[in-house]
Amino acid sequence: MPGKGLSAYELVEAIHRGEIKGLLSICFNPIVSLPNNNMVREALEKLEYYVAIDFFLNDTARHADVVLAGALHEEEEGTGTTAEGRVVKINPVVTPPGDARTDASIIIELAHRLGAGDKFPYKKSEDIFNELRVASKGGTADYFGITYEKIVKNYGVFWPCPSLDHPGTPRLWEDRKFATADGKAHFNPAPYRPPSEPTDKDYPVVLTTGRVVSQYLSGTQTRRIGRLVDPYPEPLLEIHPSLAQQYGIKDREIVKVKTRRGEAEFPAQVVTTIRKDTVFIPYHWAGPKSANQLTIGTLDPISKMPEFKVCACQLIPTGVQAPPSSESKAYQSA
Amino acid sequence: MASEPVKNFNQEMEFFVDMQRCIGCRACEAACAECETNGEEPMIHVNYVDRAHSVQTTVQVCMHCEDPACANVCPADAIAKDSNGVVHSANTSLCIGCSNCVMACPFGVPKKMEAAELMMKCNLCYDRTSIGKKPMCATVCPSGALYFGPREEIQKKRPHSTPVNTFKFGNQTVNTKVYVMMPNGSTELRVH
Amino acid sequence: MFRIFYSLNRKALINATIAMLLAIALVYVGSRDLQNFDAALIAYLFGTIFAVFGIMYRYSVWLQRPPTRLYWRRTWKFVFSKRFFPYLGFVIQQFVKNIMFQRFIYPRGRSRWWGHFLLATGCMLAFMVTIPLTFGWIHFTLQPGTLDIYEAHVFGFHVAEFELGGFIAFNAFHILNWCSLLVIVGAVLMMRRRIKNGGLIATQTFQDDWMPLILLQAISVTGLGLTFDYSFMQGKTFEFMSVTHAITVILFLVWIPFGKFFHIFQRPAQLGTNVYRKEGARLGMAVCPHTGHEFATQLHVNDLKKVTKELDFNFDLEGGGSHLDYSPEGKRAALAKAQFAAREQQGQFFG
Repeated sequence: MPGKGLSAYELVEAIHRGEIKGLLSICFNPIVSLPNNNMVREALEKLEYYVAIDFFLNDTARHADVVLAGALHEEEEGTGTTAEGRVVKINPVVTPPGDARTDASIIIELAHRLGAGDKFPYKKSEDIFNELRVASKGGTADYFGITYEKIVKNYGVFWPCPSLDHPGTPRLWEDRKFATADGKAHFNPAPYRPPSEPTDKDYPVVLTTGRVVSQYLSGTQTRRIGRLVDPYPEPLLEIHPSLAQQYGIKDREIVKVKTRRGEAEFPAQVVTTIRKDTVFIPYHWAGPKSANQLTIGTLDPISKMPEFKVCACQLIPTGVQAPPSSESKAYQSA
Repeated sequence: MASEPVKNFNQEMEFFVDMQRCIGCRACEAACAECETNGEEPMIHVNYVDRAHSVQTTVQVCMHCEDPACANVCPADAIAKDSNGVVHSANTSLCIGCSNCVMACPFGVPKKMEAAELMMKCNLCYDRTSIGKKPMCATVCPSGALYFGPREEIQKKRPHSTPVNTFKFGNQTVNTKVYVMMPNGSTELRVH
Repeated sequence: MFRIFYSLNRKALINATIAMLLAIALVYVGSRDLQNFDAALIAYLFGTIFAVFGIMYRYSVWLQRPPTRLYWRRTWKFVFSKRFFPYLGFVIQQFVKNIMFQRFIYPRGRSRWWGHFLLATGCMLAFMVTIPLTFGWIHFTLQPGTLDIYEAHVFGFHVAEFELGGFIAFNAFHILNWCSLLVIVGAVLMMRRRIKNGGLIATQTFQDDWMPLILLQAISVTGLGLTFDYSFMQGKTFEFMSVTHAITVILFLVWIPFGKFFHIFQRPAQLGTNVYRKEGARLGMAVCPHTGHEFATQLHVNDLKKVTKELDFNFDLEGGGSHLDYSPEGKRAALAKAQFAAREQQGQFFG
């Protein structure tokens, strides 16, 4: 097994420091999904060579030297593991359109062309899964006893499943032997750590970011679907009436939001459903509508999750009422 | 002219809506668009009740009134109720796109498809219910806001609720085929 | 057995009778006292006269419905007012777009539009030829002193002449065949939809949806059969072809007032509703008290309040105003709020 690598954001930071010079990414859209994306953009510009594989041309792929058309999971055979630990079989129902290919076949061919074909001798999807079985053998999430045949026969198999005759484990820890040193379950109290950027005189408002129901992640898929765009075509700044009143902000007035990392303009949505000291912007959009121009790149020391949920900002009302949401501009990325 | 194909509509199966359970996920909307009678247009409505003060959403299917206001105000005789009590989407050859129904429906259900100059509405997934299947929306609703099944089943599941199908809009009483779940002891839902 | 006479609509009966008598009078006048009337078409004439009666009867009954009557009155009042003139261009444009080309069907489906357009064009063209022929309004004669110049007469007046065997003659004598081809292709397209589309399969009926298509197919095929017969079969099957063609056409004519074909006469009302909306918007929009947005014309909301009352609906609210003042979204929100309030009062949101 290769050793532990860098987490997504650390990877971008390493590129920015010049430690990483080439990147091959699959379905990766950091220019929308990672915090402080002005830094992310700088990092991408520094790459000497960047190959992006994605099923739709995403906003980050603009920075790529080569874009390879990949496949949706409806187009590729493989397995998925659900949140309950059930390994399920995924079967292709359609073939990738045009010159698009399955991600696995792209990687295997790249390996062959780069002279590492002997390390990628896979003939079919099951061969790759079998390697996972061997690699995870003896681990907490043991896949060794799970085979394609068993998955299909049993409508999914739960990990851990250490041997071929093992039925899988629908419910973990039923034997009350936990995967800790002493075999007991441990409570892990998390000490409170204040946000890395508290509010102050210059940046007095808390900015939090998140999602809306109709969009998914960086919007590579969902910003292209009219019916999902319609309910929420552009990011709005949710703000409490009392905070809005303090700044003289009216509903749908364009507000400039500024942090130490960037600034952007959003129409205000005045609602009582948010804290009085906090504003909210959903992050699914790219370019001038991107909320991650503003967010901070500090990571949680354990999970390495960036602090998307809190940074300090200032609000500058522009006095201009936003025009009605233009649905056709939803996919605009720059 | 009310002849209809012989079908297998199961009157034991009824529709119970509890809009208070709606979480606004719009799964029903996506499912509704799969209904073959709407031509890929969702007819179900999901919207915020009052976004300025609440994140509450509501879901609205056609209630299939006993005496449908939409059909009454239609100047083109385009809307018909069948013997199963299902109020159908406008007859495409008759509808003149006047929007009378859109505005007269007390539940705000019909939609005017502007480009097609045609009114469309929920018809209880007639392609499915007419052969004994459930409407698409009720099969996907994760929170039980939309429920299609036998009455005993819903009463077992929701012992503190009573299905109600009498609605008061000012001076007007409307009775419907579809039920709304209300507190026990309720006999009607007064909207205004 | 005589009950039908008691349930007859007096007003409609009078209108229909007048229309029928008018049609008969026009046959007399147009054919110069039947001088130019083609006796071979007598069966078609009876069918058409019956259709005129039936269509007028149903139209009159239809117009008596409160919502229809309101639109009808609004339309004519507006047409004869000073404000109508600026809309003339709009009406003409709408007529060409939506009546002649049925563009509103295109967004409902491409093949559906093609099917309908071919059907409608074929039928309309055929009507324009057959009705004047049947009524004796048009007839052809050989120009005196020639053997190859045909003269066309309308209402007994000489209007055109053309050479036999020429381009005009060929098309004039075959126009109904071209119509048949349009109708056959159109009907096949429409039938294909009815076989393939699950939604249509679930809601269609034989009487309302299949029979009209089958009837149009039968008319077109037997019509083509007539030409086929005298062109290639020396008239061997003429008897059969002409009888079946006459039967299908007369069935069609008699069926118009009762079935799906009546929509041909209802469709022009769509022009009226578009003008009504445009003029209403000029007068002012209604704003929903819940959403705060404009949702319809105030004229429409006010008219609808009247119409619903005529229909025994009363959406008036106790504190003044009406449920109909709310937009569809406002109405849905009102219902949800009321249900939520009831739940809140009970103290039990679930179960």
